[in-house]
Amino acid sequence: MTDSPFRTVIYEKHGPVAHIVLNRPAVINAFNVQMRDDLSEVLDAVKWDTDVAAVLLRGAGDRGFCAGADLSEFGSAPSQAAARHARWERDVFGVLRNLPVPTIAALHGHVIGSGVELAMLCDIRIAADDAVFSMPETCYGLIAAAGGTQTLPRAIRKGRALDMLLTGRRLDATGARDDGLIERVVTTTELATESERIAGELAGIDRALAGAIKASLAAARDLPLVDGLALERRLSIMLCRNVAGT
Amino acid sequence: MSSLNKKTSGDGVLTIPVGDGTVFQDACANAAADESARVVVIHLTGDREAVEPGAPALLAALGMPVVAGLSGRIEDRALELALAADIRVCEPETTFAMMVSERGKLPSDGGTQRLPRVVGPGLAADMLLIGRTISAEEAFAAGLVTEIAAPRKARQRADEIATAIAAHGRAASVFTKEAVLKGGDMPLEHALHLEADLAILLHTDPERAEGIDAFKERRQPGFRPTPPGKDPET
Repeated sequence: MTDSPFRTVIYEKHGPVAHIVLNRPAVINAFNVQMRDDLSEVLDAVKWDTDVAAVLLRGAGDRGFCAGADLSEFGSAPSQAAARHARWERDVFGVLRNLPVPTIAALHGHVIGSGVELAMLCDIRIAADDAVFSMPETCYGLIAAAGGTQTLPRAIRKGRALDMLLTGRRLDATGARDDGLIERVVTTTELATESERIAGELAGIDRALAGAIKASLAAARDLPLVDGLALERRLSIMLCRNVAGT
Repeated sequence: MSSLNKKTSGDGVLTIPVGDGTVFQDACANAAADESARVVVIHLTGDREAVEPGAPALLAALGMPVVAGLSGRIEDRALELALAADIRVCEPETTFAMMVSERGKLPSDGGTQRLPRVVGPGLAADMLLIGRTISAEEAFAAGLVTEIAAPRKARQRADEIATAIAAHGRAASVFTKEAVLKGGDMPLEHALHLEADLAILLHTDPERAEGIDAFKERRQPGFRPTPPGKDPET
């Protein structure tokens, strides 16, 4: 069952729910180039698979969801131009963020750097009470580069986002929920069943409706109110026609 | 540019005194030109410091992170100055209010713009329209401050936070601040491109290389302030 063709990711479909598991538990699922490539393939498959109605993203092993980028591979790009090309050639973060189906991240243990950023690209985040969150990039002379400087201040208060990003301050699960970084906290033993239950619920939402809600939420974030309201109205009329036409 | 450099305390933390307008203006200009300055700290005690018009804009224009230690009653332009900082720490007895509109005036140093962006529109309206005073706890809950220090310890905590930030990559901190503040005004798609471009521009930074080496060697990075008189742009 876990005979995965990928070296760093396990991909399984359980009914309409796509389970994506970051699978480098020996290094707390540190995000490396191989994982980017594996995730890229998996997410491309998910994107076009009309049987998939929801995505559940989690990390293998007891120690955590993801300890961040694998810095042992850093500094290997031949040039800035090449690095920039590579960043957008396989925009795994963009594909995850723009998936048409609802996504949920189930978080436990270490949720650090890119781990936080991957979670923030999902629609909903649920964490075990042992989860610890931090963005330590600037401590190592780095900047968050998987969307963290943008997704954090859009999810939590700007001052708190700056605090996390500039000081590397750690948050526990309750603090992260109080700040709005994550939506729900459960015990470590409940995490698997509860996240699967929610993923199942998400998968039960009509695909067109889920897509319209996601598009409307993106508009609420990016568009002037008047344009967002117009989009909402258009989408709602389209959905009514679809229902009437079936 | 380099001739304007004013030495920091050596750890990269530059404290800007609040009060006299020209002193503040000069201190901000010096901070902007000081390549050894990694972080700026201001202390507001609320005992009616004369915060001059335009002071918040000067502080907000700084590229490096700014930490504010707040005590007493932080009101009107003092609050506007605090809002121009990035990280705010207060004390249990600190209070916050925007009373200008009660006196029939519109705040003119960013109060109507930065307050809602920091605490959200509802509380900002409450404070701006009604002149409501909020407590330290309310300020914490709303994200106006990220920490409530022990009584009479806001100054110390602000200095500690600044010292911690000064130990991080300088360009990394500056770029992170820029990505958050400039990116916040863009649609997400554009903002993500800004972040990615800044991340790739950072590849040229020697401190980034040192940070990665330090991580691989399991030691603390040894970032050093740029030696005075050495302009990396030339």
